[in-house]
Amino acid sequence: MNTNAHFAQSFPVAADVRRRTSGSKSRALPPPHVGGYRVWAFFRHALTFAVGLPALLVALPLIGAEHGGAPHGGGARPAMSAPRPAMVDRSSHGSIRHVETHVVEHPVEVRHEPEHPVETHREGTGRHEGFVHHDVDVDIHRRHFWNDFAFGRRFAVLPFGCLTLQIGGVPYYYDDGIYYQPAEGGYQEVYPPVGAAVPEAPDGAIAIDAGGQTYYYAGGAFYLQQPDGTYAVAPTPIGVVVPELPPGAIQVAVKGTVAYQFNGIYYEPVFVNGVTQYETFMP
Amino acid sequence: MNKNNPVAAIFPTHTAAANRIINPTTHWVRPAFAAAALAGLMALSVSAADKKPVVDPRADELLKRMGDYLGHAKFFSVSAEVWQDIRLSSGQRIQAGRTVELQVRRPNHLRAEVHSPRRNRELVYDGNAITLLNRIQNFYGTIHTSGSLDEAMDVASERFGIPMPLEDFIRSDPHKDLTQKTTSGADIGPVSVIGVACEHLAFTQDNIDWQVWIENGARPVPRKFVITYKDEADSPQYTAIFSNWDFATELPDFVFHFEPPAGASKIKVQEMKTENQAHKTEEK
Repeated sequence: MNTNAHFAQSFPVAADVRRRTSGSKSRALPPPHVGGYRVWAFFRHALTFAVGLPALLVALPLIGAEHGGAPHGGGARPAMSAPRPAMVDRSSHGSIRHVETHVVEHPVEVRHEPEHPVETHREGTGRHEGFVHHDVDVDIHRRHFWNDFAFGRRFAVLPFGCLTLQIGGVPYYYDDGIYYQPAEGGYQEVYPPVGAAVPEAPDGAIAIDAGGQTYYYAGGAFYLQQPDGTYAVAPTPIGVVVPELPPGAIQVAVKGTVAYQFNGIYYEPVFVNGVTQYETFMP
Repeated sequence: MNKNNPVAAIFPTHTAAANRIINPTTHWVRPAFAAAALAGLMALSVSAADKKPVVDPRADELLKRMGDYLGHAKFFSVSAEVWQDIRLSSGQRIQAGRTVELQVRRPNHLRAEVHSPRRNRELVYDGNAITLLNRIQNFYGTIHTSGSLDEAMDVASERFGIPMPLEDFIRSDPHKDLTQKTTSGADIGPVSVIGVACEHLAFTQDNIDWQVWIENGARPVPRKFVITYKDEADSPQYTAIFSNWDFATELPDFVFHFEPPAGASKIKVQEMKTENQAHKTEEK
């Protein structure tokens, strides 16, 4: 019986080691009994470590990058652990030349979960299912509850779930971006009153940075978050550009120029990144 | 016979192998470190090679041919259907579409119209000014600038953030602009785009992958163009499908003359904001 073959069957790994190491037997190593062998062997091992270890340290991150780690020497972090890329708004979509220019953070839109019901709850106000995307070239339009605001429109009953507010001793009712006051025969829609504080910004409110503050713009109102976490209607900042007009803004002429008016504030159309937006001003 | 080691007496080879394993510094560490050194050197060489674009010469040649053909054309017209991946706030992904009509007359005339069910915009450059028109709201605005098409497009894009639709194919040297930041390129092979035999080329950059399908034959024009934005969530794509290439119909001056539509209002064009700079506007 061939004991080596038997051993190879029983311990294939050891046998494999044997096969791979057997070739070294033919190498011309100095016999162990030769004087100076230990010094020579020490020198060889030291050389191997000196070359191999730095090379290994250099190779690992590069190999890691090749396999999905952070590009260009960003370490061997696996790609899956990297944070998801931010949603960006390229004004240069469709251009290779400008692919890395004008990349800005996408406008932040407040979105409530679950979303406000879409059903029509008022006569004569059709609700549209759709979506707003503030990428200028994209033809998506999302409507929000407050998109249907119309100053002075009257209703016999308030929407279900309205909040009751007292501002300067005056009663208001509020539902997701729209304010109501008692009127003859029921209630009417009114402009957002400065000072009104609501638990959260309306669904679809857009974050706008101006004057070192972040406003949340919805339904023609600019909300500021308060220390207690509520969102209060602030006076409209002047010189701020908004991507869309307040609902129900009226076209007017100011010094021969077209403009829009809402709640005493004027909005001038202006091309921003080639797209029509509106800048607040006071004539 | 090894009296001190009964296993060696039965399996002398096994014992020898075991000894080699037990004495690592003499046998397996050396090859391991040698391999690591080799891997390190290879990685270093690959890293060095990474700095140079790896573009298939055939792909580069075809792209150059297309670029030369477009760049040397005195005038041309083309239509494009553009589709852009959008992620809705709900997380759902959809495609938004529009059509683009381009009329180019070198060195300094351009008319671009962008149509969709909700938007209808126009951009005209007549060598002295770029005029934007929002047909839906009937607003127009003007940027006073002059120079070549390349210069005007740079002003529009870099100062006013206005993208010229499919700018890469309008510029005077498309090949140069397209390959400026290319890290690799390949000729994927022949394929048909809406019935037109094309060659499919694919390129990569740090933040994007892009592909172009170039018509085979004597008129090497792009028939399809796709950009994949790798640096954005879900890697959205921008797709343009070209049609109606026309290099024969001349484009006289009136094509590039802007006449405001009846009732149109002139509005400001806001210059892009930069840090520590209040926004500027191009006066009416």
